[in-house]
Amino acid sequence: MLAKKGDTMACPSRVVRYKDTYLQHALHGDAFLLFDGGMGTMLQQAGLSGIANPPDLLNLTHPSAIEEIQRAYVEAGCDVITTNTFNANPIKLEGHADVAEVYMAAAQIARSAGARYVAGDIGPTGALLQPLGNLSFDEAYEQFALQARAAEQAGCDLIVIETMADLREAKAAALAALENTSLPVCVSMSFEADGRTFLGTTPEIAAATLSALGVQAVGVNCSVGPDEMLDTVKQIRQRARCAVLAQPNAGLPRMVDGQTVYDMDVAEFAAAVVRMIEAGATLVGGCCGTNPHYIKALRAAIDKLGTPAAALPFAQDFIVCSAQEMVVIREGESHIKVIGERINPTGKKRLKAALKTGDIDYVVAEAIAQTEAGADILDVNVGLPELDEPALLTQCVDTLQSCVTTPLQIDSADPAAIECAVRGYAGRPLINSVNGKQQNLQEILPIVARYGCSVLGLTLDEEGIPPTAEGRLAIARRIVAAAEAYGIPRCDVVIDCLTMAVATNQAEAQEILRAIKLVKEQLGVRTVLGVSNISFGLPQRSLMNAAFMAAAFGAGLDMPIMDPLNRRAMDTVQAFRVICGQDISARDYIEAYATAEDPYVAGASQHASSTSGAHAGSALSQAAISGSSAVSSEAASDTNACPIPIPVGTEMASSQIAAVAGYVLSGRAAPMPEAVATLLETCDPMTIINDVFIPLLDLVGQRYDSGAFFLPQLMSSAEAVKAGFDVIHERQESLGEMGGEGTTKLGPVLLATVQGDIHDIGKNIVRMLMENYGIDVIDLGRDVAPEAIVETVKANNIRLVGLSALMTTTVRAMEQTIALLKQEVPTVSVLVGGAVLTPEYAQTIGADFYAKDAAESAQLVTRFFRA
Amino acid sequence: MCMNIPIDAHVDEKDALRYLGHRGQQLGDELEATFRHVVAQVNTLHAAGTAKQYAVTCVGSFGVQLAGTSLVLPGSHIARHVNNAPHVMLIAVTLGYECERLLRSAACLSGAQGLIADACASSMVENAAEVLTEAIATDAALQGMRAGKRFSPGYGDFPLAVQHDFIEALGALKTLGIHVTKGDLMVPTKSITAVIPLFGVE
Repeated sequence: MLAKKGDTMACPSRVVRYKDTYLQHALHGDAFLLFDGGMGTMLQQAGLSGIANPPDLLNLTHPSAIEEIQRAYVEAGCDVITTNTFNANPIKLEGHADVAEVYMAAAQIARSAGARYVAGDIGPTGALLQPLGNLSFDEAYEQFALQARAAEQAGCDLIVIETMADLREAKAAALAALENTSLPVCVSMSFEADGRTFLGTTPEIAAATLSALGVQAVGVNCSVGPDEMLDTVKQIRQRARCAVLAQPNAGLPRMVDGQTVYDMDVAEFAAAVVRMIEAGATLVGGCCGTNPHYIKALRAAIDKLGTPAAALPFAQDFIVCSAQEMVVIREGESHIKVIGERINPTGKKRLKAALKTGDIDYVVAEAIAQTEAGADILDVNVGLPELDEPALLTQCVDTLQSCVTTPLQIDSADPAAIECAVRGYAGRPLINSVNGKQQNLQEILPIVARYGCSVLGLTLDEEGIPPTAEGRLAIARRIVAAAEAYGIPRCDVVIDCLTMAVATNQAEAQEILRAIKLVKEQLGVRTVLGVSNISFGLPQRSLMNAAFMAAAFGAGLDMPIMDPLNRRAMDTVQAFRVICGQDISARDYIEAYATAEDPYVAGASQHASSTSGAHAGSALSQAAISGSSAVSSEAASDTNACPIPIPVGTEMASSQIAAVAGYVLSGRAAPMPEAVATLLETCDPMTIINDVFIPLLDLVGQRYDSGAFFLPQLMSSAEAVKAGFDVIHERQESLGEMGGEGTTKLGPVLLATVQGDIHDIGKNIVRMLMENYGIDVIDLGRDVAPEAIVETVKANNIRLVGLSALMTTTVRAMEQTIALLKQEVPTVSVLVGGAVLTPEYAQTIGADFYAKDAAESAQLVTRFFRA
Repeated sequence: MCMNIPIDAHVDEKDALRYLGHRGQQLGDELEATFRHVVAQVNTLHAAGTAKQYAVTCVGSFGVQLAGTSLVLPGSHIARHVNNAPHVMLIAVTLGYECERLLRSAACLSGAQGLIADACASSMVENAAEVLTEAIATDAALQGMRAGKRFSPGYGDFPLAVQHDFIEALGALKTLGIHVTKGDLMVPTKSITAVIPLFGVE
């Protein structure tokens, strides 16, 4: 089934103001629209390059020169003149001119040149967005909003956002234009020779994400040469729910005598663009190296074609994507995609603790482990009653998208949290969830539509979960209809028929399976199911889950929500992928299982089951989420030779203590939780900390100082101790003993890498060792402004601040931070460290303490707080 | 010379270990496995570079002035390094944004893994710079010139503050996606810029 053209969603209430019906037709893909060509090349030819920086200032200083260039394009036959405002944002204008002033002048020039339509041009900010750079999504949005409003006020007829490399930045710009103007909006990105933008986005992902926001056209400009761009246009066409724009360069850029040269023949260029038109582009023009000759040739070629041949269908495929990876289930296709469920604090003590302490690294480790184990999409739920969910969910989603490419499913009951998280997400997330309750539909669906997401619908309503398949189908039907009323096509809706425990609702198991079948057959949507509820109250839960999941696959389940680290579940998925034809020629299956042992054959190791590493996740990532099923119970090899004295009164546990020591000294975090848990059966927690962990850390420090260990060994040992500490803290927390005598943490100490410095490895090592010594650390991260440090110090009554700087250039920022700290909070002490610092220099810049390395920092801080 | 040159670079394990402060210590099975895993991961990254040749118009204690650009290479050390070379080649190489993701995820998994990934990526980007430098030397020889050693901003009194103009002159934002922060550091972080003097052969 193909949707009607122009059938885009998002901002359903937005009324687009078209200058005339031709422009409206053209932006619906029913007529061609010819844009102008390059500006830089023309400025160079006119001897104007280098006169003004940025060249947008020429609108104010040399308006007639710009007008002359644009008139040449009008005379060549273009419909649209793009204003000379590519750099006209506050960052690049650097106060030399006002944004509104530049747009006003630029639009006036374009009109004077005789433009039929004037497009307000918006280029990238020139700054990197967080977390790679400093610019926040909201700051980028504000800059773009300023430009978009200026373009509308200047009388532009449409807005063109172009040459974007970062999908997140493109999304910020598109939202800014959509939310602050009533003009049609076109967004185009630039792709490299490998078919992706610098930040890894493919044309398909760009088209799917941006067109779902409700822009009028998406496309490609600049990039490589016109011949290479053809494939990009095809990919965009496949996923765009709107018109497609293509503005290639005049050939592949080459360097000749230090100058960039584009030298494709005019006729060749026009022929290449016609091929893009045949591939589905209806808005065309030129980019770098093109001039009015190219546009004239293009005019002639377009006029020959008359009107666009093809309509604008888009396939009703289910799509979820990050900026780098896309999960597609094509219409009518039987493919299984796994949604990893582990990032959800329900019933997970360790994750709860991590979320409470802001340990987002733990969340990332969970994401990596699930991805390595075969998850296609990751559910992210951080709902804990005592935490600020909108802020935490956004923080987790932002961090996850900078570390893993697996698309995310944003899971929350709080519409505000969902909106915060999906707004800045680069890609199309799946929102979990909406249900059949009227109020819920009204709260969630506008968010889905506005941000072009997919949505998961639960078959429950004000009356609860219907016991029959027909009852569930009826709710699903209502959800799909409500979504469509908001402009959300049904291919973006997936339905969860909701699993009930078979132990308590035995008859319902069959109804759930029937519901899946009915929903798929009658509504044509994809289905998801959290399978593990089925086994609640029964032994051997994973056996029951696997059997139910296989049955659900048979009924038409597309996406199980499950634990990908559960090997039996992944075995079932992998086997079914052969049956449904997804695993062609059973290649993946054979690779994973050909040499694996059958766990049911006598003698096979309990967990050998079939994984052979293919879908199990690496030991490295699983070790990072210690406490998972990956934890080994293997004992240390050198249990007899304990390198630290056995504490008095714990002689009975000497072999376990020796094992722990072995793990720490060999830097093995994975077996630590189990070893420490065993030790806790006979030893007091404080004895373990003070008489086992601390002496071991001291020993590791000595070995490092003597050169017997090098840095990764020091770190690995510290991590092993941390894994042990976590078990003790968890135990004490569950017993309500946190904060009790002896376990009181030292500190807090604030750590930060100073402003301008983006190196944080050293600071992270310091943090880890300090935490091992029981010091409470507030880590503000890297590139931290002095004001933010002062504010945190005041808010938390911090007595000691640790600052790190790696570069000579950033030591100055360290000095400024110390000066501000001493001025605002005279009682605070400052410890500094970093490659370029010396004790003398530390003193010069006003620091109270200097530490040469992480171990010394930890000892120094311990002494500071015990003094 | 192409504008975006794919470079066949790899991790030099010895260099990576040296960056980590390794002096012959036994790694042990666990650390050895982590090291191997990370080396393999980093080796999947793609290095790319760009280069642009300039004629030297003036060399003095202020630094080096180049033809056709407002970029001046400041400092007496770069001036001494360029000496009387008639041309210089400016280069930039990077491991790109995929490397940033890898470094971040490695650091989240464990501090040790983050540290190792950082060292491996440093070694690989150094190797990329070396490979490009060698290619330039080969090209130069064909043109009857001899390429000197590469000299990067941050060496001696050649300041990091030049980085912004350096990247702009090379067009490396457009060709490689390299941004320069307010603190004059490059992102992607595993990027190198350098000047290679091209001497005339007597």
